[in-house]
Amino acid sequence: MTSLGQRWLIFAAVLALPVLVIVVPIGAFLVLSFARTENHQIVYDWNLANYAGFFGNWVYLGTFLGTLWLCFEVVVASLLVGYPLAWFIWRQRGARRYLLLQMAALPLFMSYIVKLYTLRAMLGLNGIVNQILVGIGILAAPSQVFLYNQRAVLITMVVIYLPYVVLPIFLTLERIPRSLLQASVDLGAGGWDTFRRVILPLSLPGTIAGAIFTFVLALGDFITPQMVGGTTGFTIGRVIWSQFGLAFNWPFGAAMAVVLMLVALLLIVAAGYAASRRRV
Amino acid sequence: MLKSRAERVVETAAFVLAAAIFVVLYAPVVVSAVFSVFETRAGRILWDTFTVRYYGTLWSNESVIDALSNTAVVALCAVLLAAVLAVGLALYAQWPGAVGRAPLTLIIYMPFLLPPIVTGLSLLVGSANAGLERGLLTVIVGHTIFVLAVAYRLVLTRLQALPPSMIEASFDCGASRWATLRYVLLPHLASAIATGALLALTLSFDETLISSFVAGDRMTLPLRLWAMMRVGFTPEINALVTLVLLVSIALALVAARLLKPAGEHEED
Amino acid sequence: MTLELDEVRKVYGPVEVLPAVSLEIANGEFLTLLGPSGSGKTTVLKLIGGFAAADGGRILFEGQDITRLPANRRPFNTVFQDYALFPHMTVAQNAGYGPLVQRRDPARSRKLVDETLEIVGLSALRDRYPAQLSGGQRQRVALARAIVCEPKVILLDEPLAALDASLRRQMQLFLKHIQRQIRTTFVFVTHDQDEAITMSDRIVVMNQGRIEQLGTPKELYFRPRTRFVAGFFGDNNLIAGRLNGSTVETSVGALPFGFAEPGLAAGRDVLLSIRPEMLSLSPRGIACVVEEVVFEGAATRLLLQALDAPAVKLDLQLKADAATTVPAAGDRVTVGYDPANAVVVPA
Repeated sequence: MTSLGQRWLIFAAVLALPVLVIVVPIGAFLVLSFARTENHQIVYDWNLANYAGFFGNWVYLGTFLGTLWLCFEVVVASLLVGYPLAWFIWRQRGARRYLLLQMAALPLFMSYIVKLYTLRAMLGLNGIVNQILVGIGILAAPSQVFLYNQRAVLITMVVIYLPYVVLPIFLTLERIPRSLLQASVDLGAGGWDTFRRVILPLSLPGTIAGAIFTFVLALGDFITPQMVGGTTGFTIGRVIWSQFGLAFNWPFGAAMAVVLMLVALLLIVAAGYAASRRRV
Repeated sequence: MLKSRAERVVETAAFVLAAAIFVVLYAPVVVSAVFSVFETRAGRILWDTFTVRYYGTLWSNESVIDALSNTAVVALCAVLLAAVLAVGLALYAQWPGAVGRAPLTLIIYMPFLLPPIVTGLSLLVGSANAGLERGLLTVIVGHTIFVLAVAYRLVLTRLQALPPSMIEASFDCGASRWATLRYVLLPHLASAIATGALLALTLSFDETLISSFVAGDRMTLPLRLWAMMRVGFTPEINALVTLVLLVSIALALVAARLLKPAGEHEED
Repeated sequence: MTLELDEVRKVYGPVEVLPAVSLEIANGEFLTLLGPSGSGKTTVLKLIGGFAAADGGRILFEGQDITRLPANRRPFNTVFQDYALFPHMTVAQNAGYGPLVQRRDPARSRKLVDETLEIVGLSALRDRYPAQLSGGQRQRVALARAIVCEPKVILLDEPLAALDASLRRQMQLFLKHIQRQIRTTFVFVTHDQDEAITMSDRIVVMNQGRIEQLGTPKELYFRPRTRFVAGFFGDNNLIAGRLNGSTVETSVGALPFGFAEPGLAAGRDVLLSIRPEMLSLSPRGIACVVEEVVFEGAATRLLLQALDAPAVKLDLQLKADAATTVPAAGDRVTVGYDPANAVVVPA
């Protein structure tokens, strides 16, 4: 048996590489957030100026809060669409269920850029959405309202992140033992009662965990707003990105990214807590 | 089970919704395929220009081939590294004498769970501080730590399913640690490693956010496509994209087959 | 009230699980569906409950055809094998679920729940969650939940399967007692023959989708009508032979019997069935040699081999106290029986 000291040594050896490539960079960028720029050089001066600059400036803070709200909308919309889809797949039996599940999961493997590109094309003036709406007569002429604004970002993100929401919901529904559903019916409950009193409460913790996870994913996405957001679809991701690009204010960008990271960590913990509350 | 009329109505509505969703989700594949074989003018498809020649000409498009080969190199390296690391870390985690499992798990899952922008930025800053130039190497590192969590999880789950008595039996028969690893553990883990590798491959192929920070001047396929998005995709690009989509889907289906649990007899 | 199955047929894919089952269940009885796995007993239960749809035949309740009626509209309730308690509800909430979703009067339902929990002895645990209960307690919650709905029939799907031996015996008596008390018809499924004999008013023995015999425990034990039933309960001696008037021609001679399955033609291949406890050592009878003596506490078993026909083996149960001399292995003995205790079934 290896002694405690030896075990810690082995642990250190095993952890060395992961720490080097994962923890150290995060540490570096944490440290950077406390620095400042001077004449295109980064000066490690240990100050909170970046954070003050972020929280004190409504342009930045507002964008951040706006991004949080946007991601919240995305998740809620995804749940409204995704829960029924997951429920539908779950209601199928045998090979059909498996096939539908695969079909719902495959989009996860499709190129993100391609999805963006296609959606942008579909929402545009000549895109299929406008073509259908004009064709049925809801619109008199193609409208620009579907693209290059916050709404477009919302719609696009929902389509991209939908599978991330659907799969956890399905997995959670699948864990409900069939006998519970049979028992509910046996005791005289109709479909609605069974759903409301058994299926929904039991699937809620897992659903919330999946939703929070999707929220975190959406939070970090800066390419979608850049491609379909136009000038009004601005998220904090884009702001951070520009600090590392044209604006060349790495410390400031790092500080905002740290805030983002802390919010994400908080949410991940919350998701973990929600997942642990499940009873099936 | 016998269903009431109301239940049937709800299920039909759900079916319609599901159909609509699938149409939207799979639109990219259809659209790319269509635009790879037909030409367009001002947003209108010219239906009489059907051709598959772009699937041939794309292989001589230098920037595309460069991006594609970069992506392939990065993916293979990242997957290999991640697989080796995942196996090593999983073996450690399962070792009864292991300490610090919680911090280890946290570190492994962090790059995957945190927004990619954070992971990308941390590597950007880290590599700048280390004086490392941004390029394929940094991209490989970024992809490795990103997909590590997936490979690790799959391998660990499979490892946990191995009855400890098997290892004891191996020692009992006189096998050394290395022999046990080679003849007992690795074969057992093989399918999990393969599945993890496949998933990691598809993740790496499509990875955009992290790469955008650490690629420097080099181009991976997603980054190249992103750059091209401003000007619009030519039929050649659509052909490439369609191929990439189809290959991803094929890989995903193979991975799904490997992950599929044994069939159950379902009554009713 | 009567519950009737009329030529009910059920297929699962290519397998015809129940070709044609006909059964009549009387009011207030404790009826057990007994058989090995695959015999179709659980399928019959599911068909009654409405969890499987019949592919042929009818199910009638008090004269009404309920074959196509959905499960939630049938006046029956089920106690599931895994209890199926709602994990997010307390004992009282579980018990009160039926009246709640059926929109019954809340005040009356509350009273009913309290009374039922009292009957099953769970009043003190009413605010606990299923995860905090033992197996036996969960079983009782499942039963209470069914009783509260005041069903005409309670269906029990091997509810005691998950319990250990001593708890099982307790619960068997408990269920029997409750059934007598509330006087509701119980339809009980099990593969355990001892359980069936102890608890039931009548037993339906099933094998491969068919009903072998339907009768009281005594009838099935002492007057089996088929080979399967004769061999199903405990160890039984089955001697092959040919029917000849009032005896059976076997390889150890013409053996008399007292009861035969009606309608057997003379000359038919049959089995003579005699219970081990009905055989005795007597001066005249079948000559045997003792192969083995097994002491079982309450009784001693002698495993015998007939001298005239070595293929014929007999199992004899001897009631003996400490003072009795018991034959030893290798001894020659003669075995006799009262013909009234021998039954003939088709081979």
